[in-house]
Amino acid sequence: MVATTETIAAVEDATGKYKYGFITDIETDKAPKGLNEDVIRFISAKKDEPDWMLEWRLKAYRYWQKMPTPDWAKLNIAPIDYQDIYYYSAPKSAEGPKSLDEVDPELLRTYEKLGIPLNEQKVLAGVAVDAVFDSVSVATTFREELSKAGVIFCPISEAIREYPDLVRRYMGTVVPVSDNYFSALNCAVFTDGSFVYIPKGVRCPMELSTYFRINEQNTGQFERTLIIAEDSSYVSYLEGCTAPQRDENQLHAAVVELVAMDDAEIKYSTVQNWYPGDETGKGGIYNFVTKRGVCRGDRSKISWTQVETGSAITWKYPSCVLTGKDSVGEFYSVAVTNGAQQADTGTKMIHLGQGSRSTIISKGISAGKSQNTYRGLVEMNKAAEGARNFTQCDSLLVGDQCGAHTVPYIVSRNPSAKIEHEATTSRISEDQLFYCLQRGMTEEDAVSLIVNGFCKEVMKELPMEFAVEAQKLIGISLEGSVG
Amino acid sequence: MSPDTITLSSVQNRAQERFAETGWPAKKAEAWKYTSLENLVSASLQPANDISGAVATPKEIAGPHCRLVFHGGQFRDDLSDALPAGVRLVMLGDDESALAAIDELGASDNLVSRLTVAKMTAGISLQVAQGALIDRPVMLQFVGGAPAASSHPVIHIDIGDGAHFAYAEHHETNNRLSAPFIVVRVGAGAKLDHVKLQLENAATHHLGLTCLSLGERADVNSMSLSLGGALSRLETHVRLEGEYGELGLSSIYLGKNDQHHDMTTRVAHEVANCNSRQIIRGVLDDNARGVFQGQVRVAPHAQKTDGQQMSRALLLSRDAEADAKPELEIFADDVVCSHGATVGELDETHLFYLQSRGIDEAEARAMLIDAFLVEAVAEIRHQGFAELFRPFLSGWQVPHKG
Repeated sequence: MVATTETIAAVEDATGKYKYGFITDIETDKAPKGLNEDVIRFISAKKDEPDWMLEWRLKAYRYWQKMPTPDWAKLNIAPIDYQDIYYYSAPKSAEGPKSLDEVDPELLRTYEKLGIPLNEQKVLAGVAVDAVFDSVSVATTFREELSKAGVIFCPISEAIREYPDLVRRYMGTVVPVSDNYFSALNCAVFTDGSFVYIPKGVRCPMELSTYFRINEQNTGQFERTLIIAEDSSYVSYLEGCTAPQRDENQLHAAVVELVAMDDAEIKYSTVQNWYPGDETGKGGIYNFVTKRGVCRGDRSKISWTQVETGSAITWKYPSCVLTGKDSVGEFYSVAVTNGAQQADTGTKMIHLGQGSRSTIISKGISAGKSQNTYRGLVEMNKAAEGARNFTQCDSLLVGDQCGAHTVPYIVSRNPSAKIEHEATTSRISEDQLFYCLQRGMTEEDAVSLIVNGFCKEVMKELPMEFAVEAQKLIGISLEGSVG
Repeated sequence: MSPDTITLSSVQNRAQERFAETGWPAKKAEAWKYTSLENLVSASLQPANDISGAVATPKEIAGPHCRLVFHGGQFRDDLSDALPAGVRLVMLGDDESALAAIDELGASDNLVSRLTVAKMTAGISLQVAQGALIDRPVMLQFVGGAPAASSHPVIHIDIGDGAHFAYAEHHETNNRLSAPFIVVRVGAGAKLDHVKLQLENAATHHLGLTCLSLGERADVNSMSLSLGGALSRLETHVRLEGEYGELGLSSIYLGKNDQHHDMTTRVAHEVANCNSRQIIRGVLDDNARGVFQGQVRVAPHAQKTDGQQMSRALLLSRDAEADAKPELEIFADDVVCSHGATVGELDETHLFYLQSRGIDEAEARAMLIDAFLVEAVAEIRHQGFAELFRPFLSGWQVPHKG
């Protein structure tokens, strides 16, 4: 605890006040700053975890210590001091503003543009939820309906306690402990995340959203999500939200694992709008995420849809391992970067099963002084008889100081597999812009319209809940990039 | 160091230091992701410097060209033809500007430029006079060698402003490693036609690097064929340094048995208003593996760039593998850049169509493979080179086992 007190003192000295106004009695819910085996034991104990889980975390930690930081992405990452991070802190319920009056007006203006209802605005701005609306009862209603269908949807820490056999059977089978630097770190210190289990033949009665997950006001820094869809089941999972999210934690290293059995389908949609930092990218979120799904069953399907507009640095490659016969993997992505943002994102489609198919549609938009990279792998293995891939990556440049890059990797070891990849890079057509301006649109509205048209193939894949807001979000993300 | 102190040995020393620092690429090095040099690194290589022994008569590739022969990595004036008027040959050590260019490139993070300059077995410089229109192509012929030897010829070609020049490369050595490093400066308004034939011996490793720089309104048409060797990497780096430059950079690789062909290109648009176009075709049979890595980079302010690239690979066998990494790196907005890549096998319906017309399967396959390659072959602008090139394609095909 000494380190904590010291830090607060140091910050107070430097700034006169500590932004988040820590109070002494919260300290007991915080692990000391830095990372070591004791901190991991502390996290595991706090979560009341069984021994096997602790062992698993420690194994990951020991592995992580030996791993080098990855530097292959087209990203300029300032060195991260892993000893300067808190790896566990309990929900900060008392720290938020008391009402919307205390919230940054800039933030409220954005909410308004996105058309977010007042109550939700309060949730997003971190106003104490209980005062706003009865979230517990809403969540309880959802929970009842889900349990009637036999669906399990709960925080991962609860699942580890309540359904240890299920968790043990699947966790780490899609993204192994040793997979990569950031996933290994996540394995060691994850504190939050969801667990979803859809039993055989069940079509999940509603879209599952992190939004309504109880006890989870603050999305964690090291999230871990596991979704299992048994034979012939279906689930659509929504993550994130369109509103700008601020978070004091700069480093986010999440892991998401999906498992789809015979004829099952998982649709995973993400809207990510973490704080991108100031004009120089300072203070923005580092979003280093490992997302992977396995189509284990025949005819199973996993579909990733993402709209990435936030974060200072994004390092994210939602992937599909297509093991099942005739299994299907899809990746639809819009990545918008502006200001000093950097994004290196894409997907991997690993074809192992006969007749497996994958589609990749990626739309990258760079503006300001940002750098936006698509990086993807399509791999056809020996057994992938008659497998098929189609990839389309389009990049749009707004302004002459940004960069758009495309780095696809293609590996084919089966002659009957067909791979097609195409990529284009261009800027907003002057004719289109002129046409819009001539009809009386402002330049910003025109750019937003054209860019949304450019992204349409991806946007139509988004669930209704997200689609409208996401469109507005893209317009807002490009603000200040024209003119 | 001031430019007047540049000597052949100072350039070589620096390259040796750099090579000692970096050595061979690490196993996971991104640039060597799909091509492993493990077999080569483990072998002890002896840079060829002994030119005694019988000189096999260089193979004849018919044509009106004049030959410059490198035998066992050494330049052999006695086996070479006289150069056409307007082209001057000097030893690399006597050409300071060529040395400076090579020194600069040797500093770049590239295996071949470091290795070959460090272990240089021959160094010449060709100077094509300003405005000279050279009809007769020059053929650089690389032959001879010994199974444990490596050859490291360095060739600098300077094409003066407004000149027209054509040169071909014919690589057919017996070395363990053949690693030619060729640097070409194409002056403003100059025109260059180039064709490279990699016909190395079955046990030879070929790591060739060609660095081209194009001045204003320079126009280059280049085609490479990778056919021989155990493992080969044909690497071409092009910098478009003057506006309105035109580049056509095509290649074909044909792999059989356990061959490994790697075609790596890097095209850098440094200034505005340049066009580049790349067509790559690969056919792979047996256990062969083909790699294409192509990077197109558009620098900030290189507006109005048109960069196109299309790579296609054809797999004829269950055990063949094709890898591709086309790459766009774009820092300017007013550009049109695209790349496409496909991998697949011969279309069964096409095969069926031909067979239903009474053409037997082997011939039908051959026809379809020809058709697959024709788009790349058609890129060759120089009539003589196109004729030189074609026999190697038809010669490669043997009736397929079916």
